[in-house]
Amino acid sequence: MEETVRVSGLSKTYRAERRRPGRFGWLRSFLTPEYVDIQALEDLSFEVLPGEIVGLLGPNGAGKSTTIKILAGIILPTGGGVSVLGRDPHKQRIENAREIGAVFGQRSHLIFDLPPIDSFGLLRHVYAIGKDDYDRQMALLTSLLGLDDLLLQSVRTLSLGQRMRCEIAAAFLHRPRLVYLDEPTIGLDIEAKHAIGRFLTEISHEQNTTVILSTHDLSDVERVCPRVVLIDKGRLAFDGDLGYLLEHHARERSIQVDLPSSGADELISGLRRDWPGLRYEQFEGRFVVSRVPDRDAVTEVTRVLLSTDGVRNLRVAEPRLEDVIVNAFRSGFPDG
Amino acid sequence: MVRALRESVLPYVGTWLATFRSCWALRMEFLISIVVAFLIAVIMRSLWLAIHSASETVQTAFTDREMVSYVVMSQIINLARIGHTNRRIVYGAMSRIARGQVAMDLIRPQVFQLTRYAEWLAVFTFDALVVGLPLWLVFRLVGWIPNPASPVHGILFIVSLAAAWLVMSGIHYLIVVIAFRSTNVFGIQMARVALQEVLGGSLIPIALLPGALLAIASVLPFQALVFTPVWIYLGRFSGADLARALLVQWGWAALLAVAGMLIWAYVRPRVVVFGG
Ligand SMILES: Nc1ncnc2c1ncn2[C@@H]1O[C@H](COP(=O)(O)OP(=O)(O)O)[C@@H](O)[C@H]1O
Ligand SMILES: [Mg+2]
Repeated sequence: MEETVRVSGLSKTYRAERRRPGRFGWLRSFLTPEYVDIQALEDLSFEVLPGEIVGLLGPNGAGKSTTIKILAGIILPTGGGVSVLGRDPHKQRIENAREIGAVFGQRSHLIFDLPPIDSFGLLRHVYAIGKDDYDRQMALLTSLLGLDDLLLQSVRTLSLGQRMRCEIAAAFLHRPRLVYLDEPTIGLDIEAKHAIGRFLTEISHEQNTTVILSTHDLSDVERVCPRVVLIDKGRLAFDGDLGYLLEHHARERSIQVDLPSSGADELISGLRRDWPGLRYEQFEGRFVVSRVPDRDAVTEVTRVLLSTDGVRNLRVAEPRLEDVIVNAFRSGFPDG
Repeated sequence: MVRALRESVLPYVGTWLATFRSCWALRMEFLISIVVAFLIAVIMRSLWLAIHSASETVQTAFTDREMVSYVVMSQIINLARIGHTNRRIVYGAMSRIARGQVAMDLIRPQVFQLTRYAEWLAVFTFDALVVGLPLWLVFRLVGWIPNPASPVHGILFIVSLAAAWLVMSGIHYLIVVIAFRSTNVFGIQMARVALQEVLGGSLIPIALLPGALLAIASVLPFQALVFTPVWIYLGRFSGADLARALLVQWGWAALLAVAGMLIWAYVRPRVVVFGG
């Protein structure tokens, strides 16, 4: 099968001006600017097949947005190459643009002073969508994303979550074969994040749309992206099954509680005896049990904690992406 | 064939429509434009009448009626109308670049330059309908301005106004493209406004500039903005002069458009889109 996206040996170096230190640094920088090279991507390769929903995962500054900007034909790479639907997205920007859609969490498709319906009207012209196709897709998106009440309300009065639903509709309006979503869930609550995940699964299934979803939050890709590409400092850290990643590199969780004033010592020594492999510490007044190896252990330890009088405010922290990356690098790749 | 045509024309029609709607949503600001333009026209008229009665040079160039007609017409079609229209056009595009919003332009199947022109055409047509036309009617009724010198002059005035708009958009576009590479375009912007005011004909009729300056002004693009259309409207160009003036105007319109294309082709591979 012909791949939808091919990224091969991609690298990108940004050149940024750096302010010189010292009292007259600004003046010296003005006269003789000093530049630093920032290596945003380094020899990154991966492929995406038609109809796949791939999570592009990485902490802040990993190079996710840079990758997506290159894939969208907005900027040029410094080295290596990309091919999108068989084209060079920068050279053939306009042909490419007809077949892709994009959502950037920090930017907007929508015209601020007008209701979303006018922005959709503009996009209908921009992509030369016929009336029947437009009506049909609009009806589908309206029902999947629950846009009914939003379409006629001025964009400036929409909440972030409402606006994001409209942004996503805008990206899918012309039935693109491929859609990039760059951190679309930033600032949204859990409910809204789940709604977006459900929508992506449904639309991709229905219209065979290929989706690349970037995020720094592991929970965004769970139940949405069967496969993830994990990048860190511009380099590939993991490419493969999300289940495998979670199973092998993202098992350890931590549990936090407020301890009672009496009986705490007894509880702790009991835990140390029964669970010697875990780590126990006091952190900002809370008692933290970390390195809990899997969900079964979480259940057991939680039960012990909650059966003690006066233990309150229990919270289980999911694995952090940073720890997952450390783990993934330490153990190498699943397929070499 | 039909499809290719639809795909290449519709995006700009859509852009025009959407921008026109945005202007309508901001119509209050255009109303303020009317009031300001009206007041400036009234003040400029008094000012130039005073200069006229005091200066023999001016008297040889214009009768007092002609002076008033020129000054008022130049305010009506003032493409550089300080204020809303102008700010919207250039600052709008520049702030999109600064905020990285321009990424949204680059993921659409639209030519960047044509999209900007389509946007600016919408602002221009809206301004012409909401500010220019009402002002023209009012000043025509009070008799400060005449009808076009002849029906032919009327038509050529529109042709010339179209060229003036193209020249203005060409200048705006160059500034916007430069904004991709430099964060200090405000200086250029200020210089443009100054040049336009002095050499465009809205502050002083070009014909009254001293010799050397007149020679410079008549080859620069700025006189194409206000002076040429007004001069045609008033019937002061005829025959070969008229043809030459239109040719210079359209020549600048084309030259600036091509320059915009070339500079964009140079800047495009170096574009850095900021943020997230
Ligand atoms: N325009 C730019 N100029 C200089 N450095 C940049 C620019 N854009 C991004 N970077 C740097 O490149 C790296 C990757 O950035 P980015 O792709 O935005 O990461 P992510 O989206 O994963 O957070 C970061 O170190 C960032 O500071
Ligand atoms: Mg980013």
